[in-house]
Amino acid sequence: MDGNRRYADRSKIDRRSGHVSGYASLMKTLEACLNLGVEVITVYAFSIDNFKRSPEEVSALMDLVEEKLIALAKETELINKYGICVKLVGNTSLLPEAVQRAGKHAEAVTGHHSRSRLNLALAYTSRDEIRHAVECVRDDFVAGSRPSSEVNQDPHAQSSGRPFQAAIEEHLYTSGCPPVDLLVRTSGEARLSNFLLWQSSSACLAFCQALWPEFSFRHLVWAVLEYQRAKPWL
Amino acid sequence: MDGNSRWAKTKGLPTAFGHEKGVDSLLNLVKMCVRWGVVALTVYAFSTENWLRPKGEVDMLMGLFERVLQQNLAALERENICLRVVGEIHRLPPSLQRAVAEAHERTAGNTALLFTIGVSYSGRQDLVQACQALARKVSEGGLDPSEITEASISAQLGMATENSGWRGEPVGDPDLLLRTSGEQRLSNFLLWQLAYTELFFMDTLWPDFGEADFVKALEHYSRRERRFGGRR
Repeated sequence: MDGNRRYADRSKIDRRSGHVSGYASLMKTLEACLNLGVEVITVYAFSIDNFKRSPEEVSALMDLVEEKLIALAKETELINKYGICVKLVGNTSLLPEAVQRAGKHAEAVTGHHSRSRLNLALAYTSRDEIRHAVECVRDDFVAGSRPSSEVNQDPHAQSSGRPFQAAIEEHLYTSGCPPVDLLVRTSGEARLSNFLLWQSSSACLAFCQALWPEFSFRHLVWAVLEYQRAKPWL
Repeated sequence: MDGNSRWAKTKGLPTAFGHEKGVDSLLNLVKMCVRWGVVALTVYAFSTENWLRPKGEVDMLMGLFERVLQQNLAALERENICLRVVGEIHRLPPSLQRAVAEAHERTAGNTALLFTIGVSYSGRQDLVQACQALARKVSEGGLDPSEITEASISAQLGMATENSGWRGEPVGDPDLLLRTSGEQRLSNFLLWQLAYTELFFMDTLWPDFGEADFVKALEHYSRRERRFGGRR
């Protein structure tokens, strides 16, 4: 969801308004995806790296995130129509208490749904996610809830069970979600920026020039066509 | 290095010709990297998924790798290139394993270019074995749990340079990833290391890859502004 600030500069509005436009784009895109039958959508809202920005900008963004999480939880019609379960994915303990509370509330009011899933990556990086998963797996061994033989099993074993890999996948924040089919990045940057490295191994990567607030249905259709072009046998 | 089979098909030639021509492209790329001052080059020659190809093609590729290593080792030594093969070496035919071991030994300590070839390689498997190794060290008491960090995972990867024969300047994560033949996917290559890598996809088939394409990729990279999550 790249390009909110550039959009603000270009439109001669303040940066907060740029991010607000970004949220509007998110809601439009979310509904369009769900309409197309996409069941899992993961968006990169705030990276751990973004904490490097100025304290003023981070604070303003956190306030906005809190506001939008509260607003999202009230989108009852959309949530019920598509049975959306909202999940915050990331090292959420790094977020301000108020944002964590708003996030938990959004998760609580949507937790009973299971037809589709919206993962909001907040205080997230893929490497931090993997590191965290390894820590959790190690904790499982210590607690005895995993046989210690798994840590010694040959990681290159060709048998269908690769317990350690499965253990890591169970502890990723996106556990339970299928691998990523299509990854779209806006604003012309062609980088992953530490997003879903593990999960995107076979994903079709589509880099779109439009800034995020400008991302519309036609851009989404373009991305889906890119995906179909890459998988002509479907 | 994608597109060997498609290239052969467009020429009405057997796949093996495509792979042979692909080798020429690779050796040319190695020369260009040295000439242009690139310090590290990592290529994806054979993935763990490629073992599923027809046996005839797999055997042909293994034979090709061995022949190419033997024919070019002396030149690599002369050019001060450090060669290493990363992947499930134990799955390769014994003679190829011996050729790989010899190449490692003879080019260790070279400093002009770190040339890494992924053979029977999977980015995800490399990551799994790194994580498993760290978890095992913690279980055995050789590592404190707080030492499971991003840095320790990076250092434990098979692709890490710490335990290689490389003695040149420090090599970090790749700056630029280039994939040929129009496929816009990572296909299980590296993954962890690509967190901030600039990605460049071109339609050129690998056997047709030449200096013009190489320069285009470098020009594209030079125009990128890398922020690593911060602000300008």
